[in-house]
Amino acid sequence: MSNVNHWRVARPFGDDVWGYGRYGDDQLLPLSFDDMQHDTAGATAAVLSLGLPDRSVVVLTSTVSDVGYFHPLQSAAKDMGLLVCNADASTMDVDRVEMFIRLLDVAAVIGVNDALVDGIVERGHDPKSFFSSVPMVIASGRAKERMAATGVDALRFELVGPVLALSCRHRNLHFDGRQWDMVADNGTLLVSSRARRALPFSHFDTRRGGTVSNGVCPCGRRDPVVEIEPTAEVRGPS
Amino acid sequence: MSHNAELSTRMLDEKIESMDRGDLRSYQENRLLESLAYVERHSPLFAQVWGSAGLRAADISSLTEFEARIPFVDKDTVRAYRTTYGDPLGGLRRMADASVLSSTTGTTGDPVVLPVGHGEGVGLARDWWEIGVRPGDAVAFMLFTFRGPAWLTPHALGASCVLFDHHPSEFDRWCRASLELEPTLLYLLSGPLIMAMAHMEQTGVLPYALAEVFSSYKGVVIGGDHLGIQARHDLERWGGEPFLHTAVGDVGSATECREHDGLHASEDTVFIEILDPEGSSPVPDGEVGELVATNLVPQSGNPLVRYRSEDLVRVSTAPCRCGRTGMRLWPVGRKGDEVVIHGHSILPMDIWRAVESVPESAAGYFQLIRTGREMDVLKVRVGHNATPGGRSPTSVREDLIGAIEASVGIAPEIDLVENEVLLRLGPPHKIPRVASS
Repeated sequence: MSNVNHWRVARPFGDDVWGYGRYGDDQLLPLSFDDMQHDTAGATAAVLSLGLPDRSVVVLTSTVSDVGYFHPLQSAAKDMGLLVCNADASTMDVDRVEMFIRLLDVAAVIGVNDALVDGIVERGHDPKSFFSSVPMVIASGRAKERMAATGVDALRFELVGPVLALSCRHRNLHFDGRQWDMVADNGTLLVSSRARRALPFSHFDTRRGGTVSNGVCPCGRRDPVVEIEPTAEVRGPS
Repeated sequence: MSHNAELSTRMLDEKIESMDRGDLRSYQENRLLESLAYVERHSPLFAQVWGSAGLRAADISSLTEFEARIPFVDKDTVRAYRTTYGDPLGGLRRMADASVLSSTTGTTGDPVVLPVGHGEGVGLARDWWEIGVRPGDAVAFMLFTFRGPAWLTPHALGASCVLFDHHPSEFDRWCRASLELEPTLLYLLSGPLIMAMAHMEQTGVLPYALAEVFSSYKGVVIGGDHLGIQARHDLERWGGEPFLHTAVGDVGSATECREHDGLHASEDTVFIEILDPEGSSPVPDGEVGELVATNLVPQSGNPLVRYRSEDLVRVSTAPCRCGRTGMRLWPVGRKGDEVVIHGHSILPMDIWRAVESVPESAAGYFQLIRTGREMDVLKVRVGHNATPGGRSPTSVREDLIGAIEASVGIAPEIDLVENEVLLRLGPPHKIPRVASS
């Protein structure tokens, strides 16, 4: 049988570049294979903290340019035996998300953003009805606020510079404390990388206001908790 | 790199890609017989379909027997199983055997969930190697929805990926990244995106010399619709070499080689039959038939057997000038897109050039209005670019009627709408070419 192992092409690994995502104001974010491996370990803790049942179906919505943030979540979920469905976090892919929710016993929809909520409304759905059968919805700040106004009680995620912060089931917004350090400087969150990464960060100004704490969270995740003020929407095509 | 000699070759899997067709058939037969046993064990749908026909996988001992006895399935078969048995996967695979749940695009109806198994497929790697991707290169993805396995392809070739959304809002970042990282492949552009890029170039919104931006690219894969004349012209004006690309029955894909003489399918992973769209007789090379696909590696891909794709294609099994012996395809349209006006068959492809020939509709955005296969009047909804001070809609409509009548011999009724109206019907890389109203 022919497969990639027969091609004798040296597969990249370690410090080699896995790919280039996006962060901040449309900056290129180089990610190494090591970065992705470490981020997947962090994402494993994040997924565990959600308390999803074994073999759950998870719909992961993101944009391709934000795959650097979300691919580790997908890898972690897959490694944990969860079944992941992908859709674009954009207005045009609302029908696909709806189809997954209608046909499958979906335990969580992760990655809902403003564009997706726009699409849900444009297609004549009410967000509360749209997500009524889904026990857990995780949305970015503005999307979460908009859906709350219609009665959807979503958890939250935020892209903070190069860092993905994700709520646990106890509604605390954690980030991977092994990879990242986050401090509040005059109320603004600054991000630095703690581990070796393809692109090191030092006091990167996220232009997000908030505070960081290291208290014990009842979810069991030991990563720091960040409180972020409501702000502009996560990017993505509409 | 210790395999420099191999890097200079044109084929990644030369033994497979240039295999004698007689040997290929034997190879396919071996794989098929293994596949059938796997599918019967893992797919309740096929176990039921074959059981209803009084068949077991073990009853099939040759490709000839397979072609004669195994029943066809299509999307409706999957949907019917889904409804009858309440199985969201349509019986294609047991949930416990799936690693990722993919889905069809939904362009022609409710999308179907496609449960992908475990393991790696050949993917697009052969196509990209032919275009010129080599270890150490960067591959720019301008993609939507599809995840997971997509990243395996550049990594399998020793390359990295640069990630963009399939959306004009990404052009600026893509231009900057292209100049900085010099990717060798862009996967993928579509007609609507090329038209948007040209518009942004002409209006100064995209302040880059696009010929310079494209200069590192050895190829641009084109997905979605047929590539229109204007879009091809713009891409080639920037120095981009288009490589047409299409799905093969939700099982695999096919892409042009550098000879640009048909799209190559990987026949060691998919068994392709080209049949009478209304029956089961094979159609000779060169004639239009329906593509029927069987996955020869169902462990890792979508477990589909004799799946009627509704895609109409012409094929050739003659060797290509590139040296490959695999089947080459030329997509013609979708079976459900055909309308018959007074006995005259018309597919969207038949009026494409006529629509593009009118300057206001040069983007080629149009839909056939299809209330049934046979109709008395040819109705076409055409997107146009309304500009202040431009020609009147009546004048544009008259030109369209004349151009389409000259092309297919039938004067159509034209419903003129703005381009945006059709583009919003998405997905982003194509518009539905047929509408019921």
